[in-house]
Amino acid sequence: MDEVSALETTVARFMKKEVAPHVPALDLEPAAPAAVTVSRLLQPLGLPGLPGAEGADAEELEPAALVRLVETMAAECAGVAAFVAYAQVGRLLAARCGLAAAPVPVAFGWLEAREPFPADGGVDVAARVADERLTADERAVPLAPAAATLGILARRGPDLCVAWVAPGPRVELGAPLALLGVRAVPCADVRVAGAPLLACTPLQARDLAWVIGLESLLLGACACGTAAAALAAAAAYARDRYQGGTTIDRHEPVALMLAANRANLDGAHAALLAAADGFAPDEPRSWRAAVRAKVATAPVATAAALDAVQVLGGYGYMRDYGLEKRLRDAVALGLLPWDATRLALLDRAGGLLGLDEDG
Amino acid sequence: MEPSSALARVVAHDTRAGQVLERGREFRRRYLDPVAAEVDRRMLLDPHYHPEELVRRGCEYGFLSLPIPAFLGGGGGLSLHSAVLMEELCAGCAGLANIFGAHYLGISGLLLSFDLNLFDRFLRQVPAAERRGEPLLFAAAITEPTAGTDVEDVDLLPKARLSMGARKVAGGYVLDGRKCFISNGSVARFTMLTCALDRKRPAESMSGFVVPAGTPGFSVGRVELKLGQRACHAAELVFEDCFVPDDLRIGTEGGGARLIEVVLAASRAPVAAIATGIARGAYEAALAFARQRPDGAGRLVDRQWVQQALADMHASLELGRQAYLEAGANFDTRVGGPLLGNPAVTETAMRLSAPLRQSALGLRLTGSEAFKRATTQQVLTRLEHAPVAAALGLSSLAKFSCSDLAVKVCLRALEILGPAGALERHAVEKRFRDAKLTQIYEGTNQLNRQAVFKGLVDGGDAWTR
Repeated sequence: MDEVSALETTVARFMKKEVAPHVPALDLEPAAPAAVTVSRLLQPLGLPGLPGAEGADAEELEPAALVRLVETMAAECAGVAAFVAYAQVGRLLAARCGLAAAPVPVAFGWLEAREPFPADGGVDVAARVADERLTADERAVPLAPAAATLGILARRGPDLCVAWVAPGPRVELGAPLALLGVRAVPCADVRVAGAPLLACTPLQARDLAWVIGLESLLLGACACGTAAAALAAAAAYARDRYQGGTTIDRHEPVALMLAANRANLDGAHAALLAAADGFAPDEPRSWRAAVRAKVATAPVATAAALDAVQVLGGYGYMRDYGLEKRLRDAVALGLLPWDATRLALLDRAGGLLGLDEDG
Repeated sequence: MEPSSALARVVAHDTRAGQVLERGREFRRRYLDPVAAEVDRRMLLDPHYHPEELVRRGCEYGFLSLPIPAFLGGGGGLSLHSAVLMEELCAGCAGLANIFGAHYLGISGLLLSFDLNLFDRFLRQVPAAERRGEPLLFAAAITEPTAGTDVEDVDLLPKARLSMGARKVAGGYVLDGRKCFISNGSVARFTMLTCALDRKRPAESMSGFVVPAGTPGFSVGRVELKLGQRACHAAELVFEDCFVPDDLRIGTEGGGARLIEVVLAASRAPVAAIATGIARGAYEAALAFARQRPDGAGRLVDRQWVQQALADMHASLELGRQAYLEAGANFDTRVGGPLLGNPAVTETAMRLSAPLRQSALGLRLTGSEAFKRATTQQVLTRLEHAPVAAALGLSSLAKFSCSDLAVKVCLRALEILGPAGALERHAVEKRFRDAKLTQIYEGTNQLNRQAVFKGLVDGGDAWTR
C-alpha cells in the first residue's frame, strides 16, 4: 500500500468514526456554527491548511493525493470534503503568492454580482485596491466565516491582484448563506470597506488559470466521491427491495440506471485522476486538463445522484435515508467553482483566460 | 409567462379554465411568492409546521371545492381545471400548491367512485366549510412501506408485499398496518385509502375506505423531512385495530384496484401540470437573473448560450403544457364524461334528489350494500377498460414527460445562474428540489412508462378510437 492509500484508509476510518455522527447536524446547522464544528472535527487529522496543523508538522500533499483524499472524505460527507478542498485552494494560492505563513484557513473570494469572464473577454473584477486598502463588495465567499485570512481577487490600477486581509472591523461578514448542498462549507457575503492589507500580490492570468484548475480538480473529486457513494447506496437498496416479486436490481430499468451511471462515473473519475496526476504548478496544459475533467464530471455526478434517488423512490426523497443530501451535494458541486458551461467556454475561449496550451 | 398557444386555446373556449387561471395568478402573486422561501426554510427545521393560514386564504378563492360537483356546492371543475390551477400555483411554490393538489387526489377517490352516500356525507362538507373559511382537507393513502409501485398497478398487485390489510368483522372492517409518504396525511380531516381484504388476493380484494381523522386506532406516525415540496406534509399513517364501519367503504368490496386505476388516470395530468409549473418558476427566475446580471458591457441574457438555454426551456414548457392539457381534456371527455353521464341531466337529477338523499332515510338507502352495488354497476362498470387504460396511458405520458422536463429545465436554470444557483436566495435550487419529487410520486416515472406501454403502445389505437 502506498502512502496515499494508507492516508486514504486512515481518513476513511476517521470520517466514519468522528465525522459521520455529526453529518445530519452539519447539514442543518447555520453555516457559521458549522464552520467551528468542522474545524474542530478535522483537527486531529492534522491536514495542512486547517487550524491545528500550522507550522512544519503539516505535511505537504501533492494535488493527486489531495484529490484522492477529498474524494474519500466526500464518500462520507461532501460538505466536509468541500471544506477541506476550499481550505487547500486558499492555502496553496497563498503559498503561490509567497504567503506560505498566512494564518489558516485561507478563504479565496470570487464574485457573484457580475459575470467574472464576460463575453468580450478578460476578467471583470469589482474589488479595488487603492492607498494600500481594499474596497470590495464581494458576495458569497465560501469558507469566509471560518477564515483566518481572506484573499480577494481585485484590481490594483489595471492589474489583477489578490488583496489579502484579516477578518476585522472593516471586513464585514453578512449572515450565513444557505446553500443547496455542501452545507458544511460556511459561506457569507463579504463587504470590505477600506480594510488595511496584509499583503497585495500580483496575479497573472496564468495564476488565475492555475487556481481555477485546482478548484476544479478538488471540487470535481468531491462530486465524484459523492456520486459514487450515492450509486453504492442505491445498488445496496436495489438488492434488498422487492417489487413485482423480485428484487428491483433484477428489473432492467433499474439495472440499466445503475450500470450506465457506474460506467459514466468511472470514465469521469479516470479523467479526473489523470488530470490530478498531471497537475503541475507551471503546466498550463495540466490546468486545462483539470478544468476539462470537471466539465466531464459535473453532469455525470448529477445524473448518477438523480438516478440513485430515483432507485430508492420515496425513500430517496426523504432526509433520513441520506440520498437526498447526496443529490443536493452533487448538484451544488456541479456549480462550484463554476458550472460546466462556463468552465467549458472558459477553456475554449482562446484557451483558459487567453492562455494557449503552453501558457 | 403568457399563456402558450395551447393554454390560450383552452382558456378561449373554456370560461372556467380562464377564471381558474386568473384566480391562480392572483393567489400566487399575493400569497405564494412572498412566503415560499420562508416556509420552505422553516419546514427544514420544523417539518410539523402547517401553513394553515395560507390554506385558509385558498378558501376565499374556492380552491378547496374546485373539483367538487356543483350539485354538492362545489366549483364543478374537471381534471383539466385542476391541472391549470396547479401549474399556476406551482410556478410560485410547489410545496404550498401541493396541499391543494393532494387534497384533490383524496377527493377524487370518492368522486370517481360515484358513491352517492359518501358524496352527501363528506364531499358536501368541503364547500360548506370553505364558505365558512375553514379548510377541510382530504388525503389519499395508497403507498405502503413495502409496496409503492406494486400498489399502483393492478397487474403488479398479485406480487405486492403489502404492509397493510383489512379484515371483515360484524358491521365493518378492522384495518391494520401502515401507509407511508402520504401527502396531507397529518393534516387531513378525511383520508381516502385502499387496502386488501385478502393479502393473498390483493387485486381481487383491494377496497377503498374513507377514514376520518380521530378514528380510534388511526394515528399519524412520522412526518418526513423532505428534499423539496416541504410545505406539504408527507406522513406515515398508522392503523392499529382500526374499526371502520361498512358505510365508510368506498363503493363495493374489491373495487379498490379499479378505483386506483381511474383515480390515477385523473390525477396524473395535474401532476404533470405541477411539474410544468415548477419548471416555469425556474425558467422565470433564470430569465430574470440573466436579464439583470451584468456581463461586461451588456447583460448575461445577451450571450448566445444563455439564449439557447432559455429557448430550450421555453420549448419544454410549451411541450409540457400541451401534454398535460391534452391528458386532462382526454380524461374529462373519455372517462369523466361517461362516468357522470349527461352533465345537465346528472346535475338536475342530483339537485332534485338532494333533499331525499340527504335525509336520514336517504342516507340509509344510499349507504346500503344493495344501493352501492347497483350504483357501481351503473357507473363504474359502464366505463369500458380501453378508454380508462388509454386515459391512464396518456396521463402517465404527460406525467413522466413533464417531470423529466421539469428536472432538466431546473438544471438548465441552475446552470444559467452558475455558482449563484447553489444559493438559496435565488430560489432556483428550491425549484430543482421540488421538481425531483414529480419523478417519484403518483408512481415512479418507470411505472408511468409501463402504463404508457400498456395503455398506448401495446393497446394499439385504443385512445384514438
